[in-house]
Amino acid sequence: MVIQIVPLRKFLREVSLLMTKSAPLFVLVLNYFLVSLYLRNIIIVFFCLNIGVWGVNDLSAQVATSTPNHTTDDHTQSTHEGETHADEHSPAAGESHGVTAHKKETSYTDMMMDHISNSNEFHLFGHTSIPLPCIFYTQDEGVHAFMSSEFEHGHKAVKGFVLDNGVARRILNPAQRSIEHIDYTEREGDKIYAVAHGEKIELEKASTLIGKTSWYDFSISKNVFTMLLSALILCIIFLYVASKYKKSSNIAPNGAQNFFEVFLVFLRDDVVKPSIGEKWEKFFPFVCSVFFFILLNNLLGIVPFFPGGANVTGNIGTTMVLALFTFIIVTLNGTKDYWMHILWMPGVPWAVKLLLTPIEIAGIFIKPFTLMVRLFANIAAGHIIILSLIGLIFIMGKNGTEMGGAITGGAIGVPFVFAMNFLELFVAFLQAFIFALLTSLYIGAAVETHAHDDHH
Amino acid sequence: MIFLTDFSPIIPDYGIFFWTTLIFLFVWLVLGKLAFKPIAKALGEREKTIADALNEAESIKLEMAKMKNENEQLLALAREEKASILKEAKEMKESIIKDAKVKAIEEAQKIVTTATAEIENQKKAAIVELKNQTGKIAVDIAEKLVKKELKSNADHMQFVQQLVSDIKMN
Repeated sequence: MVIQIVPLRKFLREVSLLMTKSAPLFVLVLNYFLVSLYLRNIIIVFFCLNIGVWGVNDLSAQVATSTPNHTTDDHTQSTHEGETHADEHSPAAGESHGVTAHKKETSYTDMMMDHISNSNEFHLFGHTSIPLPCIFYTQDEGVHAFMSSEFEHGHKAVKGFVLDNGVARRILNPAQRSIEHIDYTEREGDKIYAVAHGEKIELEKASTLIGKTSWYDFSISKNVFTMLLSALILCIIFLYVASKYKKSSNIAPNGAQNFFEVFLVFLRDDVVKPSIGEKWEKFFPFVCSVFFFILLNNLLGIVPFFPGGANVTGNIGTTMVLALFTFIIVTLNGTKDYWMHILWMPGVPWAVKLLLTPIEIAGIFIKPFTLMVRLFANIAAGHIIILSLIGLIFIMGKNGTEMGGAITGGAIGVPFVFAMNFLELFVAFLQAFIFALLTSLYIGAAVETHAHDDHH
Repeated sequence: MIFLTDFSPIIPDYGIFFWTTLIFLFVWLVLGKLAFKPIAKALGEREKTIADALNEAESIKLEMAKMKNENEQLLALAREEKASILKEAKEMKESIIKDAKVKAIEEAQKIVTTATAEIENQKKAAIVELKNQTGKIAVDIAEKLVKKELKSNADHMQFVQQLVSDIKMN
């Protein structure tokens, strides 16, 4: 099957129709995004202007580090971006210990990766974060559950866990897990250390599906929080819309019902029905759920401040689960025809069959794998591009030491970020559409029963 | 490669995996059952209603056109019939008048013929009657004459002459 361009064109037409049909709601939603995009640009300009102040601080820090045994002020350790939560408010940091001035090496790449990564707290601005529940399952100590505010932005170790740039990590050595105070965390190569009283404590890597760790992170993290929020929003929207349909199914739709009907009818007539065929009704709820779940999370990802900002669909774990659902549905609903076409393609010479079967079998797994990677890569790349453009301010400003460079970086970056945001808005819809379309195409191929003569 | 090993979005982790599964399953089951399925059903029903109504309107329109056509045909037929009836009536009138005329003439002739015959008959009867009367009168005269003869000759002569004159009348 070939992906048609026609649905997209039809979709754009429907969207333009929608603009005229349900203008108030559309304008409201559009304004919300425009305002958020606009605010994002203001924030960037604000960053740009503030570079001067940070620059002075940073310069003094460099001077301080160049003078040995000199007790520096707090600002030496505070980094310019305000992202690494340095020790400004920690009484233990500067004065009480008089630690040797240590310039933290925070590369912009690290900052960028921290931004698009999941995190155990919902960072709002400066040193303000929304605390989120941390639920850690450890193999030796059972379950630990507490709020992320207990970490005090990484300055406190809780039950052997340390927050490094918003991500919880466990202290590697069980003997050191009783430690409470942490000065800061630093990265050396691929290892991460927590520094407390001048002592380096090695931290275990974050819990992932790859590699073994002594603990697993089941926290309501930033991404999970956003997903819960989007699930709630989806429920409110669609239960409301469904109630309107139940109340008056034969009356012309209006308002929110009309707004979402365009999407629903498009999904039904141009995505699900042509791809799946007769049995479309059985899979329509799944494709709709996938589409709106991805779309809403994509859109929330574009909004730069709370409740947006989490890179949900740009996290491979999330896309992996969605692709797995598709994989399971396709596999469970595969007809005899579908499996025959994979295992022993009818109507093809046996030599070709020998060649085709391994490819087809690999295809079963490649299809959902591409679904997973496509969505993840598109959304993550969008975030990275925007962060890179913002990064021009810091890189050209040489981490705040050159104000002129920072302003030049801002002048280049801001218009590009502005344009990129609109592209991201488009990509948010496009990727949700592509995921839904390919999912229904894969399901369609699995449930299709056809005469062998007219095929191939 | 340093950041790739530490690049958490590219490595799936248990928390995200677990919670996404749970949340998406929730969205799918709840919204699928309570929203998307009923919406699809309602949409289908509405479209069916609209399609039905349109089809019905179309069929009614067709029927109307058919009826109109039929009416027109009927009207034309009626007009034709009217014309033909009128024509027939006219023809009939004419034929009736003509027949009546012929009949009248025939009747008149018949009457004339009958009348002529009657007249003839009456005439014949009258003649017969006259003859009878004449005979009777002659007998009477003869009787009277015979009686008179017995009285005078002159009288006889006069009487005969009178008789002759009488006969001449016929």
